Amino acid sequence: MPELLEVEGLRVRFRALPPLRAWLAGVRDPWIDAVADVSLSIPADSAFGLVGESGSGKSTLGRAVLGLVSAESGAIRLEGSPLPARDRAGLKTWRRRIAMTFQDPVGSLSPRLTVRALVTEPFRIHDLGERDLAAEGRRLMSLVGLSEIFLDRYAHELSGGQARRVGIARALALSPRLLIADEPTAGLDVSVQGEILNLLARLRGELGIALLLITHNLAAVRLSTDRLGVMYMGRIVEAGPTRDIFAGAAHPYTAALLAAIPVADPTRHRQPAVAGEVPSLLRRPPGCEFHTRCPFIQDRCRHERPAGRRIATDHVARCHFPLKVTGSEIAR
Amino acid sequence: MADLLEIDRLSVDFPGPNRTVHALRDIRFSVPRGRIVGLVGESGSGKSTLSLAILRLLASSAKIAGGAIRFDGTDLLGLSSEAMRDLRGRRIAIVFQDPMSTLNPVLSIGTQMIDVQFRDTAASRRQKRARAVALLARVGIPDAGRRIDDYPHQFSGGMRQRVAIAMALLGQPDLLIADEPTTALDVTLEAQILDLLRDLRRDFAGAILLVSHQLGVVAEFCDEVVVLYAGEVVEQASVRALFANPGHPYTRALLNCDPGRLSADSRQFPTIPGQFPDLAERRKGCIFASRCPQMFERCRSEAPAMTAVAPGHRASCHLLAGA
Repeated sequence: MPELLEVEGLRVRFRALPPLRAWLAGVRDPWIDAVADVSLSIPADSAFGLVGESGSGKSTLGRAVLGLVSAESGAIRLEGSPLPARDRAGLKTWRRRIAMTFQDPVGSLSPRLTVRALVTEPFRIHDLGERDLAAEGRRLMSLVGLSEIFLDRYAHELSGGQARRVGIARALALSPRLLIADEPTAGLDVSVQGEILNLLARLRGELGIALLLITHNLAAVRLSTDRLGVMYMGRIVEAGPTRDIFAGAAHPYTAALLAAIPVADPTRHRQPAVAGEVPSLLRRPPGCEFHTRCPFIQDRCRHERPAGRRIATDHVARCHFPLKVTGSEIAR
Repeated sequence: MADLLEIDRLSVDFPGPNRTVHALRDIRFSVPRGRIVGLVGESGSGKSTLSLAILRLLASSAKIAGGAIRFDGTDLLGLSSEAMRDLRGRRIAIVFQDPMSTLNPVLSIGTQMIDVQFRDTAASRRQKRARAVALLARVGIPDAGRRIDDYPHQFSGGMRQRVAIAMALLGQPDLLIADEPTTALDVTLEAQILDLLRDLRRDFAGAILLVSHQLGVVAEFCDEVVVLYAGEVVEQASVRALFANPGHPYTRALLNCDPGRLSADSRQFPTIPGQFPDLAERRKGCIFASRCPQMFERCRSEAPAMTAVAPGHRASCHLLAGA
């Protein structure tokens, strides 16, 4: 299958401390790699889920793919052509083909524009004003399942779920090939989360677009993506078919995330699967970066950074001692 | 033994120029001593209004339209604001969803934890600081003796929530209200915080009212559950009874939506069709009627009464009354 999006060795750096403060604090390297050496590919029509805790770099990765933050190194290609990072006109075309919905559903919509103006704004920005904007507005509303009466409302008059739909309508206005959905279910009630995920699945089928779903909601990715990447401290530590990873995670971090999914069953109690918190990106642990929290740590993990290891066809984990799955038991 | 907290037919309105929103209507439930009661509901169900009403911290635009909130036998709604202030933080404490909004960003954790002990005039500053350090260590802050002088922004989200919990427990309250204490945290931290709260219960004898929209959190943490929908209690039961045998169609619909319960083959997520009711309207029938898959004639015309499903398990549905 031809790849729609390819990301290769992507690195995104941010300056964490201004020069003087870094010098005062005795920090020699004031840069953090929010995304460190990430490679992934998304075939046309498929859905890729990117999960990880806050600060793991998943949103930064999404923004880099859209060209909103610039990469330090690495390559991003859409249908074979590279991201035109320094070419304004080229970036504008790039963003017609890749669209994104942002985390804060209401905050990402201008409070001064009506929904009609919000969903037709992309046409104006891309000089497509000659189109019948009234008809486009109605088309987009019906596409995302909102009644036309919402066209005259403002963002603050929308519920969280409705604001998400408007955000999706805006993103789909120019018929992109890839939709990046950044935390589309955050802050929504569980019944409304289902509505949004169903909507994304339906749109994917109807419009034939690919989806990059960025979320910390593991239950959401399980049923709505084909492939999954698990990020930790800016790296993808495990990637593979969603179904295979849920059936048996190879990386202890993935296993810990899966074990932490709350279950609505009072007879079962989850135990905290990992202790502690994510270390600071300014002080990346040597060796395997997860070794400070890993319940299965061995000596080698402290010194040697693990490379990607093939678990099965299409399933890779960065771990010296990947977990083996025997039936439903996870054993070493 | 009398219940520690008894909410008796509480109604709260938010009057506006053209319409009055009836945010809570006729709420009745109780929290026994030493128990953990979960209050579940979706956005707009009134769960946060209720927890603020208990603390008498509602916005001035809110109006108590009726009912009583009895804490240890005293109606909190009848107390003077001085008497109420004396209860807050000492006998009733709260942990909010966002620890950053609980903590003052310009004061060190230590200063804030000493300040909240202002009522204890007998103890010296040194003793109060020692108490704060001990409690910080108890909630799992490493190197508490040094970290106590740090400011809130120097802590991570999970650590900040631990600080907020320590602060709430400083007054050794009889009732701890935890309003979505883990919603802002990642799942791995959520599991850690719930584990901490469970562990703290061993040396903290008080009751906990856990407000949450997450059934999974309630299932693993609570003894009893109260389900709120659009400002009304629709079901109350022990946690096991509620999850094993939900009595109200809304509770069943909500449980159905839990993605953890879906089989790996399903591609469609269950939802609750229909619109959330307009809380400014006074309606005759059942509050859930417009979205209920089992709705029949009587549901539109008559509000269902709380009916026993089993001992200690009640729900407000006409189907239970045997029609």
